[in-house]
Amino acid sequence: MDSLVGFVGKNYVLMAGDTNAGRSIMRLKDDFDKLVPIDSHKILAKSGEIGDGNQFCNLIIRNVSLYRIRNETELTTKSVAHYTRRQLATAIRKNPYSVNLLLGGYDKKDQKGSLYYLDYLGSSKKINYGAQGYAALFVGSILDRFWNEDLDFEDGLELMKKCLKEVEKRLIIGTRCFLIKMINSDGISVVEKVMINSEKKNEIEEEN
Amino acid sequence: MSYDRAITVFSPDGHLIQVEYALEAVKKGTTAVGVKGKDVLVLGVEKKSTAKLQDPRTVRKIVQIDDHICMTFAGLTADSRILINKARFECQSYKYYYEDPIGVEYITRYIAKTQQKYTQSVGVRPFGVSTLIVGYDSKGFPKLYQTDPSGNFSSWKASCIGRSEKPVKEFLEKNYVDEMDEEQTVRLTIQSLVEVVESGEKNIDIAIMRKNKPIEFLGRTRIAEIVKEFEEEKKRKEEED
Repeated sequence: MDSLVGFVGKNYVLMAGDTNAGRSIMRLKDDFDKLVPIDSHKILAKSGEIGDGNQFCNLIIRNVSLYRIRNETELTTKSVAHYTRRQLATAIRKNPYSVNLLLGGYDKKDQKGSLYYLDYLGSSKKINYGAQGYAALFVGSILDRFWNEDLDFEDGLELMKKCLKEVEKRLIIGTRCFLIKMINSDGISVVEKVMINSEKKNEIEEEN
Repeated sequence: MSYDRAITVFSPDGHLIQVEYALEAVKKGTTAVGVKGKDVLVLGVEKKSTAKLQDPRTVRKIVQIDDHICMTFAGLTADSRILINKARFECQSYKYYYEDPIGVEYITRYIAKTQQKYTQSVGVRPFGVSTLIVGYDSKGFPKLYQTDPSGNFSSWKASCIGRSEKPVKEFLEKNYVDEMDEEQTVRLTIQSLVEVVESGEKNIDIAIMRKNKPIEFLGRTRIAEIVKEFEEEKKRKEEED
């Protein structure tokens, strides 16, 4: 039921997640932030079991902090991705975390953003664009068609909204509200909390 | 049976000789000073003179334990590393469980507890380290704590550990005033060290801890400026006399 979308732009990373939190047929929360900041320039977008997501993200955040305090330097996105994957891989055959993640980060050294796809089985892949959850079924083709590596911020935001609109249109379970965050050299910022309204509703009103 | 060998056992007159020897090791270490101002904390350390070919930047005595807590130490550097690592881990562990940043007294208790454990365990010796821990408590007040090899800890307005402990403490007792501002606190710290440090301001490190701000190490030029001002004042006083 979770939908997470992310892609890398010219010198930023754009990530979006739906803000629903529910159990079976009940929506428990409609302002749930699934894009968790690990440090000043990295976001871990979590999907799957809510409890597992919380615990696992906490674990990663604390260990990344510990590294920063111990070594007086921040980890790169690649390192965090590898570390996270290692934690998932060792857990899968003992006490699996049912979480699928998108890790987005901006590295000041390379002045580039990067995005990683991680899942509960312990796979990890560096991607330019991707999604987790049901969104992956719908946005893959849109991003294949319209993504390019020189997307500036306005075009990127438009593309993201295009993706989210498609998710809202096609996913039978109502996920209208999405939170979009951006990571660039200045850090993490909340771009927008979008409420996507399907066009079809307007058509019905007009008929009457 | 010799009561001061190997593990820490009581001597016939009720002393833990190993712990007292550990305190001797601390007294051999380079001086560290901590001063609490109205809303600022300043740590000053005497740096051991580095050999000619040694990179001085790798010898750091003032370390960050968490974003809002710093500490320094006097005594065996290698022993201090162990305590610092444990403290750093404990800070993150606390945040992992409670989501709140750790309190200064909490981490001081933890470090002191660790030091005490090693005075009552099989096959280990006490840490030859005294520490000064600074940070702001939950109400926003600056706090300075000191621990020693016995596992004692206490809160101080200004304290000193290491080889020049006695003269510096006397100096602080004479010159400490409550509610000092940042400038006064920094000056007092530098002044207390300059008296006792052998080779002057080049071998002093000063760190300022302000509320909700990362720790700042005072630059060489600024320290040199302040030391110069002291020397000029001293000259003037001598001339007047």
